[in-house]
Amino acid sequence: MDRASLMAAGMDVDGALERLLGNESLLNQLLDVFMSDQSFEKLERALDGGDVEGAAAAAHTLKGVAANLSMTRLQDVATRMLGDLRDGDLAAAQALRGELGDAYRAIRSACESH
Amino acid sequence: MDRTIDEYLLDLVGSRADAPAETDPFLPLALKYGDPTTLLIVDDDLINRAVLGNLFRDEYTIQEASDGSAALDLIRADPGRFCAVLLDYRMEPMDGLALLERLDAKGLPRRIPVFLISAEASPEVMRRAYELGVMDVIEKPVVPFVVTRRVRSVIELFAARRRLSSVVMEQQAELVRRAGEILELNRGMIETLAAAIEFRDSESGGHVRRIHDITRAFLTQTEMGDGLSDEEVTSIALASIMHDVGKIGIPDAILGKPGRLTDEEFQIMKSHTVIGAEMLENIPQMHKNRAFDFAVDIARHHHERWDGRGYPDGLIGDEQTRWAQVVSIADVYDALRCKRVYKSAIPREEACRMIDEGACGTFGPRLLDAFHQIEPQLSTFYEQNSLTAADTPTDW
Repeated sequence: MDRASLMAAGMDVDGALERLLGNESLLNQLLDVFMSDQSFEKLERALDGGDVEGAAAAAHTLKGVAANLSMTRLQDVATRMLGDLRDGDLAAAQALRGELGDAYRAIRSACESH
Repeated sequence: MDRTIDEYLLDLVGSRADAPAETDPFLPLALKYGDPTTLLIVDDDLINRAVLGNLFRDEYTIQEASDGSAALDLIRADPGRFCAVLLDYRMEPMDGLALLERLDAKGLPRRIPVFLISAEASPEVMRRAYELGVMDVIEKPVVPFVVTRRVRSVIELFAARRRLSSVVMEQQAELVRRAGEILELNRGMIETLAAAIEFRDSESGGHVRRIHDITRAFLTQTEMGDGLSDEEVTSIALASIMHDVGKIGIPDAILGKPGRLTDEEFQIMKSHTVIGAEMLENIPQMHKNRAFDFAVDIARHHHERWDGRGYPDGLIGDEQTRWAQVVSIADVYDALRCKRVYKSAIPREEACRMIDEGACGTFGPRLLDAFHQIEPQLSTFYEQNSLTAADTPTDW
């Protein structure tokens, strides 16, 4: 696992390992699961279609996954977007798409190289 | 002053029939097979399940369910298998609280500790979860040592409660068994002692049993027993055995005299009522026990008369309690129907006539009606050949 690139992409690797009681192989497995997670795609589609509820559900799932894996940057943006969506503020949520996308793609590419 | 012997002892050990209210129905299984060791994780998210499972994998067998109905099926199939359930709040279509409601409806959260895992448990959600019996609400993303400590502590608590419950159950069973033995011993002792006292003037213990049986017949089959509970009837029948314990204070010469007593001797003889009542009153346990209340009353007043010319207190009519009235007529009837040292046995028609005509004491109209109602049955106690007082005991 390439700790440095994961950390640079906004993941608290040590925190994640701690949650997993130091089980590195489990962390690797879960990073693989993350790679096949579809929440980001669902969120994008929902935002495109103006579906606030669908977007909120997807954002919630994404937030949860990120939190479990201590992907703090991604978790942080997802949390803010989720807040906007729950307030019904689609515009504010749309405004965060850029930041979210950056965080997501960064962590994905760090995972790919691990 | 308001309990029978039986009630007193049964209060002491709790109800015989029912198991203690808080008994864990899985207790026998747990004790037989050991405590349950499977932890059920219910969450629709794979990563969540993996993270939680990883925390407990070393200590428990992990079982996973990805939705509420699968979880319900697993639990229902074999509830005794699970030592805990970890339940995610946000799931579709049945969320954690809905699942909890179904579990709570079966009382399961009291048997299996349930933990709600939630990223954003609002106070309302938490309150509702606790109302439904959740042991703890745990935040996501989980902090490992917090979750493990909290979950393990509760699992151990439930295991300890089961063990305690089983010990209590065993002790209770033992107490009930011993209470039963004491009750039997009580009755045996009372009967034996009363019979021993009677022995001096009536040649056997049959009299004591018959008084008990006659008293019981009056109370269970005639209106003389109206309004009395089964317990009270049993207590009064028991008390009737002791009606003549005061005779222990009467000299042999008087008790066993075959001829007529002089006035002075009669005065002494009469005092067995007062002596008996005082003896019974001096028993320390008496004050807790209604059977002894009846016994004191009966001992003192079983020679009173409806017309007020009885002894020792000259009670008139219903001043003499119903049960003392019953014992007094039972005593007379038995004396007439048995051979005694000073007379032979009197046949039933004549005995009934003598009672009706007040030859041996006067009785109230209600008592006499009741007497005639059951006299045919009472007569059967005497019918095997011509009975002396030394006779076959009736079935107790």
